[in-house]
Amino acid sequence: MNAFWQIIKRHAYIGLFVVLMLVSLQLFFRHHDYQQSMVHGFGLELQGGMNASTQRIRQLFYLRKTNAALQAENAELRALIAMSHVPVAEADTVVNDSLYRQLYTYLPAQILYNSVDLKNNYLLLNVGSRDGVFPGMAVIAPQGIVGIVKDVSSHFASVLSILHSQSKVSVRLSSEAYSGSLYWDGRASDMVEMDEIPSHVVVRKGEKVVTSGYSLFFPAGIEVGRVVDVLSKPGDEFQRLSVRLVRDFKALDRVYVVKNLDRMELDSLMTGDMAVWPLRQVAEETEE
Amino acid sequence: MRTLVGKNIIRFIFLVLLQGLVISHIPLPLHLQLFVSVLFILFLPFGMRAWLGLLFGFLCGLCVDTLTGTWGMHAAAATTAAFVRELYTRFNERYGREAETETVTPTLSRMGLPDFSAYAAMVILSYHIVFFALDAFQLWDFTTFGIMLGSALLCYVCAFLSQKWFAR
Repeated sequence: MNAFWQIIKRHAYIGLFVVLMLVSLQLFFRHHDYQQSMVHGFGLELQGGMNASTQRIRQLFYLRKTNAALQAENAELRALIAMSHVPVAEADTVVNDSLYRQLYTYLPAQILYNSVDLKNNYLLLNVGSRDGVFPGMAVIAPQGIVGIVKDVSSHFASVLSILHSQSKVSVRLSSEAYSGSLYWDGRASDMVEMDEIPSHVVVRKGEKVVTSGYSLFFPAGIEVGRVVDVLSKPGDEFQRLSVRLVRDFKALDRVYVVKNLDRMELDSLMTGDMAVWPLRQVAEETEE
Repeated sequence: MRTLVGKNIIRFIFLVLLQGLVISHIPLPLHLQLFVSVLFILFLPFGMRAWLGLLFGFLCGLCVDTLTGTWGMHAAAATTAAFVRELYTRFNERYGREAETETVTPTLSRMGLPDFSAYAAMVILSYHIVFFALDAFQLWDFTTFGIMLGSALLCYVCAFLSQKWFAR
């Protein structure tokens, strides 16, 4: 019996290895399953706090690019303000002020952590539930789209990047009405693929790809990237397009969280199969 | 003995913070990744209790996970690396549990080039295989394999370059 215990004692480390591996894998699968984010509660706060301090230094390196992006955005906005518009001859039109109402508002946020080298990438933002950020909100950059908010703590939010193996965004070609889905093949941080374009549609290289607005996450018409290549064999029913993102994810710094003011109303309407899948999943996971 | 424990605790804290707060934030060319936290496991002293080595490996991985948001990936990889290290000490006669009378840090000068390079290759490669396998999961392809080997090589070079610091 003594010898038996000796053997057990000698090889107990194998048992410990198995236990520790199971713990790690349990952690891994709970957080990476699909559409899974990295952190909840405590982990998110800790990671956010730590990264916030290092971000201050890293920010300095991207000042030039950030400035350029802000300037470009300013130019775009300037084009929209009243000053840039010529009044239409008042005699022949009736101005109806309530014709437009606001659907989206934008909350500026700072990226604290941004991974681009993994197959499943996430971002960490310095805004949280305190600022009115909830899971399922879209995140856009000054140019291009970034991802969808997955988890929030009171001060931080983790974002499922479009550079994630499970990410899927509804987009369309700017010149055609056909929409398709955008996903990442896991190779380069500035290249994504677009699918589900019928083969009879003639796609030109360099054509703009914009968000379709069907997914309820992203406002319609945000430029995502440009077509660089058409990847399809003759006889295929659909064609696959290779798309270069407008902005390389490595250089991201400041982003906007998009708040859809109709979200609550849409959520209550869209139940069952009507609901868009990621929205449902995010909601389910939040309930857990 | 006491100083060795102190040294390893300092290494643990330093390497985990370096990995989690600095190195993980620096994008390297070709999507390579540098894991310095594996060096902590690599230079854990021989002759240490088996369960302690495994537990330290796991903790090291878990801490890096918490800082970089890769839940479980570093933990699993580090546990495997610690396990491989433990197997090495058991089945290698020169540095085995029986051969060593005291706990010593496995360095190049102490082990010699052939032994140390084999030992480092085993530990580093096991860490990278597990990490990249978990990361890529279903997307495993030739490029990922190349990135894995490249990253492991980078880490391997670091292991040799940082000899002096660990030998102290």
